[in-house]
Amino acid sequence: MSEIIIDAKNIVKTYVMGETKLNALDDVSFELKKQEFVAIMGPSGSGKTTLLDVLSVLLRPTSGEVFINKKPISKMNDNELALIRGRTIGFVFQTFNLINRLTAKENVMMPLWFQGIPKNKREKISEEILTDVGLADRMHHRPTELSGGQRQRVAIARALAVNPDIIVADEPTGNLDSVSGKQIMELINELHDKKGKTILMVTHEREIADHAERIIHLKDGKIIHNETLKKKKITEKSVK
Amino acid sequence: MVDLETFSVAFKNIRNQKIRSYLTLLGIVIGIAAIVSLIGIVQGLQFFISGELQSLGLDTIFVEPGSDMGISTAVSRTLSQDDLDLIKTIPGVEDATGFWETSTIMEYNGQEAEVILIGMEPDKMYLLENMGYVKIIEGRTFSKNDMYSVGLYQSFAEETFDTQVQIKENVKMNEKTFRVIAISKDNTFASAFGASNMILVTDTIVKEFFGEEKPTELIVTVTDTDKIKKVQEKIDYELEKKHGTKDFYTMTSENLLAGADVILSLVGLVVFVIAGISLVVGGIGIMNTMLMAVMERTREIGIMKAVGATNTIILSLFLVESALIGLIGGIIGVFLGIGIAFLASFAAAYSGFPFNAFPSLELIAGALIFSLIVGMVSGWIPAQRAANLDPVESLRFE
Repeated sequence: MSEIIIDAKNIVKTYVMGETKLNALDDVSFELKKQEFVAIMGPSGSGKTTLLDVLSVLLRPTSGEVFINKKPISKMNDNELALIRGRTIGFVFQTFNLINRLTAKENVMMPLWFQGIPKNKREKISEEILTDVGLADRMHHRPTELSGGQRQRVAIARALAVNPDIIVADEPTGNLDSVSGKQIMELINELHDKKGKTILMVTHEREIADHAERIIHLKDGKIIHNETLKKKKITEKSVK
Repeated sequence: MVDLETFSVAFKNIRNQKIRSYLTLLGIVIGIAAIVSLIGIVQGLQFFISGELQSLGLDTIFVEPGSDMGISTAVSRTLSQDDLDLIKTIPGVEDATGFWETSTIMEYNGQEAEVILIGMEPDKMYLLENMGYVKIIEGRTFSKNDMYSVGLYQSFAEETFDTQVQIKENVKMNEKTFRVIAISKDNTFASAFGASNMILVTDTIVKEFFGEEKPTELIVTVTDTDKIKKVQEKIDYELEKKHGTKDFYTMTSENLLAGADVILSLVGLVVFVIAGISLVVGGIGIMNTMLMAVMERTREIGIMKAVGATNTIILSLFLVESALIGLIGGIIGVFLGIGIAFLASFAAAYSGFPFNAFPSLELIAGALIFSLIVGMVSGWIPAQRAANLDPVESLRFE
């Protein structure tokens, strides 16, 4: 049994909108084990993005506790949370969230800067990772000069820069055509299978979710189903 | 964590918004340029005036008609020959003489010009040379035997009439022929205040030939410069007793200097306040620009926070950016200010007022530090706002 890397207990996230209170998450408990590939599914408004935000310590829950590597986040200040994100979590977003005035390489270098890694090393790491994701010839292009698929590759390269344990992906194929979407999913699968990364992914598409080992179904802020997929075996991925 | 990268990123951000950055810089540039140039000019003037006044001599007391320094009452002649005789008896007085003044018309080669006659005892004229009013470049000094002799300033001799007045030539005043026996180098003060038409003659001419018996100003030298204040007080006392009222005032070059300093310091203060206001406006400009930058880069800040930027990094990034705007504005402003001060001294020198308005190093360093502080203070609120942005909200900010 692998160790638990993210442990969320009784998470409630309440948004107050004028007079009405909305429970985006309503007593959700969830464990993510190391090297797992979990997809979170649900209709829009089900709270899946909020759950992802809470699990990736971008957002503090209204109540409940999240443990990252057994450490409770409620005891940490914002700077400490930022450092945890920077070190252990790599983000991939639906809208890529690249900084458009920086080149692909500079985007990938950024998280390394926040980790205090010297510039020459930052450059070296970025070049290696961009080459790995197939963008060796696009390093000095700005995001606006790249296709959607290429942008998402840059985003994945940025997520990988600090060599985090967990990759958090929020609808990673949502803004891509089917061909690029497929390529991105292959890349994510590869990160899981070959690099042993823990993957936490939000999607509303079943066929994308099918890449995962486990699917959490969310509705109205509650987990309604925890589905384990048989077709993918944990033993498969340990073959390197 | 302010490292080199923080500076380089901040600098890139400034360059990225060229026009807006330039406009923002302008506020600081104008304020700093105003401070550097105007204070530089004031400092130059201070230095120049103190130099000029010191050349008047530390052992000289001037006795002037009128009630107080600064209020010139050249028309009222409350001093007399008797006063001069009285002053000469006061202990500590080395020598005393006076100026007798009148104005008349000078004729030369059929042309006329208005002149101011300054009459002085020939054997006391050395005082004029000591004080730097006169420096003979052609001819000779006056002697006791001189009667119808005049001394001219160089520019008067050269420029007043169609042909230049030469040494040993004759000029006519009040139907009498005078001989030019000396030509002096121009006096900065005199020419700056438009009195280059002053003509030196003996006191006898003014007193007897033009009937102006009363001196306009007395000049007293003391035997011991350390006791100049005592002698000054004694003159004040004795003359007031004699006149029955204080219709005169005495001053030393030290008094003059203090007076000039007060005026110039006041001018400096006013300049500083005005320039300070423009800097405050410039600072508000920086704050505005930085608030806009935080708004625009909200999503970017969210991204940075998601990938591990701490609040401290975001804070320092924006703070460094606004400090850099301030400093760059300061540097440009200093150069501009030096340029303006240089032009001002050039223009002043051209009009016969050679003072050096080069701003001091302390002033330049102070201006740079000040601009940096203005930048940082203006950037504080925007930087705080950026640092405290919520990562989730800013990530999804459209």
